[in-house]
Amino acid sequence: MSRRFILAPLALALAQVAHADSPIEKNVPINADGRLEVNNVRGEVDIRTWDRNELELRGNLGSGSTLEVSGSGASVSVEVKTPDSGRSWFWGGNGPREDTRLEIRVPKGISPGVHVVSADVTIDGLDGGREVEVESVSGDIRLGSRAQRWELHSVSGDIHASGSAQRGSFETVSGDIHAEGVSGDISAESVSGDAHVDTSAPISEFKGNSVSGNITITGALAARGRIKIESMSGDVQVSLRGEPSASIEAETFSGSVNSDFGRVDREEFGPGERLRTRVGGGEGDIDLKSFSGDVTIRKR
Amino acid sequence: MSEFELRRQLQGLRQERQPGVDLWPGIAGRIAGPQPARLSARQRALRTPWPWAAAAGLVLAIVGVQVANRVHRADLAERERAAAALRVDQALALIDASYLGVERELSRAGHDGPAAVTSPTLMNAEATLHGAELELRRTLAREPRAEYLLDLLARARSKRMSLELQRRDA
Repeated sequence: MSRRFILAPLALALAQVAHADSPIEKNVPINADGRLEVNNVRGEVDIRTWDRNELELRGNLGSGSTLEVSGSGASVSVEVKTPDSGRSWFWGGNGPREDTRLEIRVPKGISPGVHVVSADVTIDGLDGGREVEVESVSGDIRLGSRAQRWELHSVSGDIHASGSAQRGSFETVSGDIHAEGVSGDISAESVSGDAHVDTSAPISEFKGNSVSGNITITGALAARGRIKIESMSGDVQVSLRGEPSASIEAETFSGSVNSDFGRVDREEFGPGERLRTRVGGGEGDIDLKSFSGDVTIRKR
Repeated sequence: MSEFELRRQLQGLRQERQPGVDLWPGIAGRIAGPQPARLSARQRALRTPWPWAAAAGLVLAIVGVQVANRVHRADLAERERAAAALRVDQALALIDASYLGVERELSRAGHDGPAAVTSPTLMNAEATLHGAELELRRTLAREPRAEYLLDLLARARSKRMSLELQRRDA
């Protein structure tokens, strides 16, 4: 056997070691109210908090990917790059061959912006920051935090958000939305995914729309608050806490309207049911429409 | 026959006799037919034809007004539907035109033809959005008065366009 045949498997083995996951260990100073940008195509992003004004980055870098950490203080960026950086990861580029797992610890008052494709994102313990933004394609988003604003968008991944926020925007194509604790101005939009929103404080404005997904919202209506939900075939359900004061209008073309308030009328010309009523002083406005889904308004 | 015999035979014929009671009232009654029973005031009122005619006229008038009203409302609903269909057609043409405009701009920018889509997730998302658009269009064609569906359609189209732009920019 020649030396060439002995060395070839050894070189292959060494190459495999070089491409194996490599551990990540990096610490960067970040302000207590700093901004953190994270980009990771696949794998996982896990953001937790601690009491130091420092970002701690741990985890494993997938084979073939490189890690770029830039900035410090007011703004820090963590980006997992792939060799095929000239092409998009999911539309035609080769993308990373392996998952990259990022475990990040930050001060609780930061505002993160996380962008992933198929990576799951978990953010827990943030408190007092301006905003939390997460964009995902197929990864799930799990958020437990207090911030002024949540903005969570996904294509097919599910969104689970809890904690509290004064404004919340949730958007998916086929993923489901579960949000608890948001109040103030809220919007939930999906195509085929369901949306369940339970508010902690009175709703100033809720806008919900879906094509076939069901939309459910539970909460109290603020003075002059507005709830507007539109769906094509999804069911719409609103459960109102306290004593609402609003004009209520609900209609469906081929579903049914069920309400604890007012009287439901059947359409004279064509199918459908409609409710028009006023409760309390009628200050707020509730407008619910579904073409073929059921519309339900309950008092809790 | 002698006169004497003739007189005797005449005397043998039936002789006129007056009845013991006056029979005429009975005969007159039978000629006039059976006497109706004595009617109460209510029965007499019911037998009077003009209130019935008035009531029937009133019912006919009410039914007539209702039918006319219904026809009028049906006509209004149909006109409303036709007007909504026109508005929906115009809005759909606008949505399509804006999408085509972006397509042309992309072509002019040198992004000719769609790139190969490799992500099943995004292909599924595009299929979901495309299916939703078709279903919304079908529903709007069936019931144009559900104009709020235009907003859902525009959103689905916009989302699809944004995925398309991402794909072409890749």
